[in-house]
Amino acid sequence: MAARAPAFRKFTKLDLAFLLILVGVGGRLLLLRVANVETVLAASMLAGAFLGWRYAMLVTLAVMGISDAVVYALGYGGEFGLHAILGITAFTWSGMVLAGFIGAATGRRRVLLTTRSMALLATVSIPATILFDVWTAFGDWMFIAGPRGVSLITVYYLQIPFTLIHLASSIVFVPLFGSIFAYLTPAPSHLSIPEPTDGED
Amino acid sequence: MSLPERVKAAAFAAVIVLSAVGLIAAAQTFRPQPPVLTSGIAVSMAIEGAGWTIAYANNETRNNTVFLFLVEAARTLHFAVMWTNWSPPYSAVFIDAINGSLNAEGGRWWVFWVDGVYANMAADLTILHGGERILWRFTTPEGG
Repeated sequence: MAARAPAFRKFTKLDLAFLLILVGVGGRLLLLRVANVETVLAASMLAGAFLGWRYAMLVTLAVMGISDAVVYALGYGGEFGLHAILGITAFTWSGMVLAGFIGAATGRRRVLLTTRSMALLATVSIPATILFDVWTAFGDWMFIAGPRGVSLITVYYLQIPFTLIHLASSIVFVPLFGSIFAYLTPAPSHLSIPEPTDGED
Repeated sequence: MSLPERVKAAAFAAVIVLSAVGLIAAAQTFRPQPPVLTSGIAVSMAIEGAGWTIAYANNETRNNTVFLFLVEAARTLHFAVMWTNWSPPYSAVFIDAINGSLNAEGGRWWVFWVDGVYANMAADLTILHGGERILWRFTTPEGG
């Protein structure tokens, strides 16, 4: 008799995408007052790694859309003005989508619940985080700091401690949630080997 | 000989925790630290609210960040200041209201300049060395 797969491992891709959206939105809102400690990059990367690039886009845009709506409704960022907020939004959303694509490229070989897979994801989250921060700091300079006379070099220098904290956030959250989602991802289905049949003479 | 998966996982978790702690510690080294003053410094401040202005100066202050000097002015001249603390690992204060004027009222927000230069750090991370003129203005966002 074939071993029965536990019911909780029968998540569909859409279920997993929904859970990743919850992780991204919930983590971002809960950690709103902790600078650069966030779960969105982990959710985007893991969506790419486990579900592919289309889901990476879906999860990222859903997380950013929902959480940005709440964040701005709470009044955060209002001091920058609509023009700057729209500009920064373009940079943060595209940066997160890029992280999702990096995750998708990493997950082309199946991600399993193994230390090796989690170590790979954690390692890849480092360049993904640095790329995101370099990209969004440039956006910050274009729309907020630059128009107020702050040089790009100064913006990148001031970004360093925030990037270090963001790296700490990513290397913790990516393998942490990665392990959970690797556990929840449907196990590979085994194809039955066809029985050899006797050919007709 | 390959290690058991549990041992690998424990070692990996230890590396992650140590790396995260190291990164957070490294971030703290970039945090501006106001020096402990042995003598007072001269600082002046103007606060331009919605239809009111407050001027304050002290030639012997030892409150050598923009935030501490603002709190000193509030205590001396008896006006209210409200702020929000951002949590560690990179904590900072965000000024919410001065003298009853609350951020977002009429689309205005509190921003500050030091010697005419727009602040690019939080008020508690902006260090004063003496001779600075601070301007707080309750204003609409530029370009907004």
